[in-house]
Amino acid sequence: MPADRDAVAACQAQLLHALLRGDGFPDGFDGRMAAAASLALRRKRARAVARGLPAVAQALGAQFEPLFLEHAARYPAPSKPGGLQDGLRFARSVPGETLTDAARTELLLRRAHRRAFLGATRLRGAGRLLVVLRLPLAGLRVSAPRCRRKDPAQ
Amino acid sequence: MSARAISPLSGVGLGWRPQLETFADRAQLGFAEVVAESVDPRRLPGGLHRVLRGGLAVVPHGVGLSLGGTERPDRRRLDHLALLAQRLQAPLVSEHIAYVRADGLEAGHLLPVARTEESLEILCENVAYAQAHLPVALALEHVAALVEWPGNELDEATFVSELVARTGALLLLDLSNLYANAFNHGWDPVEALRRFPLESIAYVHVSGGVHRDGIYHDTHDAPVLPQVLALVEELFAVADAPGVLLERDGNFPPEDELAAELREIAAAAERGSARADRSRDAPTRAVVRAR
Repeated sequence: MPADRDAVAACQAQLLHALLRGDGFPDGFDGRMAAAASLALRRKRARAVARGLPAVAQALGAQFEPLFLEHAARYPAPSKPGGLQDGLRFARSVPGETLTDAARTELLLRRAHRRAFLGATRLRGAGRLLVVLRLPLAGLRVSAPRCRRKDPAQ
Repeated sequence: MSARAISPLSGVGLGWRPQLETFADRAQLGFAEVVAESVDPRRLPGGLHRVLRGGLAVVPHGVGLSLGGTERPDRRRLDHLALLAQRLQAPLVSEHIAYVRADGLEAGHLLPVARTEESLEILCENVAYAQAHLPVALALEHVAALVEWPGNELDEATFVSELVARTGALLLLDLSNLYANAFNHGWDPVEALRRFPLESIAYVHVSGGVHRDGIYHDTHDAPVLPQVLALVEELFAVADAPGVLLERDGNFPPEDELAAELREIAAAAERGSARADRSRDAPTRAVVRAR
């Protein structure tokens, strides 16, 4: 009997969805091992993201892994390899005030990895506004003018 | 024919990573491997160029073909692998017996296929398609998997033997994956090892991992376990095996620790070969150690 590719594809997709989410495993799988596999898969994603955005991971500290695992259960990894795209999407869900200046700088510079980009972030510690502009052919321009601090005590 | 006769890879090798490039420059390696998706064949990293200039064989190791998936391997990924093999003048390339995407989603991990006749047919078609597009031989690696498909019909050694026999592909024997699956699913790794197609080995992988909550995780970021080194010894006692390569992907150790680990791997292989020499007439050895 020739292989029924559609049926196999459906089974493989069902297992993959369950592993990404961490629940809804098809009948017959060992629940303990399946849960461990799902956690291992999301932890691997977390490590790749931490490598791509080390300052963000450092800023979140012990909160990084639980926050990322929750994000990973909801959003499958983007098809682009490496943890950068995954990390940039995760970072959008992180409250801005939990990030350090180093993490904000890292995110802004990483987001600028495209043909054209204009973005800015407030560096509270330094009291500066970091502005990054990238244009085709012109390359990357970075400036950090002083800005009025929101909180004069900082 | 023995595996040594079909594979030019010998000694102890190392998975080349940017973090290990200064170590790779100085270490006395037998060969190397590079994750195919991590390098651009048109712009090889300088460290990899130095390894090549030193005369080492470098094997491109793919993780993205999804040979166990139901879709035909992607031509662009195959072209990338083929071009990389040419640029590296690699003696062979390797990939996994696994699927990594389905339904438009990426797993970011190597997932096991059900060990059934149906999966074998799909794998055989995909492997044949890949082989037709690659300029050099393809070696297939069995993966470490925490989940087992409930419908499995064959054990891993039988499944891999069938696949190798039907496709003519070489075997990338991963002793850490063998240990992981045996430990996590309650098999005897030594008994299983003897039933893999040892005469078709292109090279051997070892890596480190951790035991957590009664489960072994093949994390590639810890030292190789003594249990895995024992399997290296066992392999060389029963087969005329080619080179053994260490995969280290994170938590990189100081250079002297890494050098010591490579020496331990070599010593385990030598102990196995010495055992084989002492029992030259053992029947298992007669099968796979052709002289």
